[in-house]
Amino acid sequence: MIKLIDVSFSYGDREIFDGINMEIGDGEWVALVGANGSGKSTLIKLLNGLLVPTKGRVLIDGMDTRDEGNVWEIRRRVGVVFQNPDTQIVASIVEDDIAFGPENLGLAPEEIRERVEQVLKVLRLEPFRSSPTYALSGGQKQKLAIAGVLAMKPRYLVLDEPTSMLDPPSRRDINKIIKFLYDKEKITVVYSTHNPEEIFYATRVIALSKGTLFFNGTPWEFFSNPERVWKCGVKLPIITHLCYKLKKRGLDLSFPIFSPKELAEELWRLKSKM
Amino acid sequence: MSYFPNVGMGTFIPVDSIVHRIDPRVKIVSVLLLLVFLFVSKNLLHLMPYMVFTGILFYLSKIPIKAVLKGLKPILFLLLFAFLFQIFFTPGTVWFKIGFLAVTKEGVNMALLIGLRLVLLVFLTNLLTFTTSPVSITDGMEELLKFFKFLKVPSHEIAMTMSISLRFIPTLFEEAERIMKAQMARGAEFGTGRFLERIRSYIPLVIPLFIGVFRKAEELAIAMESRCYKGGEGRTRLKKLKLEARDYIAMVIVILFLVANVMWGWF
Repeated sequence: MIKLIDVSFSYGDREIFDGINMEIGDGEWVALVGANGSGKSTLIKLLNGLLVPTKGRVLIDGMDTRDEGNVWEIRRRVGVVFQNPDTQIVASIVEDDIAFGPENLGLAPEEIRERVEQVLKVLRLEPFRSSPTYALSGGQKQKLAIAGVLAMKPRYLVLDEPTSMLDPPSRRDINKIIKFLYDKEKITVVYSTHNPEEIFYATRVIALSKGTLFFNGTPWEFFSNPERVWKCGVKLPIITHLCYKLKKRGLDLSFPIFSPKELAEELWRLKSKM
Repeated sequence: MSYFPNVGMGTFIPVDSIVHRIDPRVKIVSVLLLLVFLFVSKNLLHLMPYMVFTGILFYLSKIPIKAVLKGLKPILFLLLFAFLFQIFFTPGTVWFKIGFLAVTKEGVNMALLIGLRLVLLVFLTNLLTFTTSPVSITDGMEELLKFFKFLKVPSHEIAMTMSISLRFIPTLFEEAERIMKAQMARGAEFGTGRFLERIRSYIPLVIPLFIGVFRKAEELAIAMESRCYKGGEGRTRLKKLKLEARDYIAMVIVILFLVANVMWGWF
């Protein structure tokens, strides 16, 4: 379990957070949303001890990130994937890059080999095992970044806008993989994003605004208040947006609606009432 | 269109040959030893075995002859300059005269010696880089530098720096290309005008590139720390270099060759 107790953080004079409390339990998929500059990336760096709170405590399975002795175990348990795949890849060859994390953990070569094979298989990167990393596409590079983190066998997979630099097919591909890891490998996911579809994968939405916890609830609750959604720099899903506009024009629709089918049924209901 | 085709692999030519398969450490040490002895020998005749030996190695490596000769291109000018300089400006017994320039016997000898040495220097280093991937060269260097641990040589750090540099060469070329295109779209011209103008014209490329490099370096450092990187201490490797029979044999052959050559010089 990840626990933030009264966490404050500031870069010098610039205050980012003031007294945040939150808990992320095992088996959750948390979507982390918030406008640019709301502190999502800072929060993510607090989770694996890259940054330590100026006040309060961040506990990972009970381990305090301020305690120097815990830092490597915390980083192993909390695997972080960043936005830009190009600056996360360390090695020139795909399998060497996957091995980078386990090598740092000081595992035996046979164990490293086993983990590399496992991860290559899960992420379907086997055909690329000996490819030079620069020859991969953006989506494959981001897959590799996820692979490198998975090879450390983390309990928590934290992703900082991992698809924002990718094209739609790669984006879907990455999301499918994370869904698979969440469903099958029972990994806990924290996923920061602006994309409404990606928010729907989550079991819970945590929204940040101006250094405070602005919203904490299910995706359905989150999208039921359009002003709140926009304030977080997120757009409504197209159907929901259409429904919102129609409602504003005076149609008596229920809100929010997320699927074309639901909207069609609602409109049908209205029509039959007329 | 790409301004920088085929970067990142260096000059490595991936074919399967016995020379390719030899341990990088053996190859690095062999080339270094051969180069040292090459530059110690003062007799033109003694360079002939080096020529033959290098030739055999190239034959075994299956490197196309075109690539071998192409490797000489960058030093052609230096070669010509050194050759002519030695021919005309070495004092000794005059052989014949062209105008006021005297060609001496010693001069011809010296010119051939220096020319051959340079050619062999290029051939031998190319033999290493043609047959060994940058990654294996780095791995080999790391292992070799460990012998200098008592001198507090940071072998792991040097190797890590080298391998990250190699890894980022293609990325930076890509970035340079992107910036060039963006600036050209805004009307920048690169490499035109007089010398100073030409240098100045590259500023719109160099400045953004540098800023990008620093940002990338920071992001990479953060990503590495997130993946538990804490230096070479306690770090293991997926691929451990292992010397096999053929590596020992190769090393012995090189040493025997050198010993034989030195002994030839004594008698």
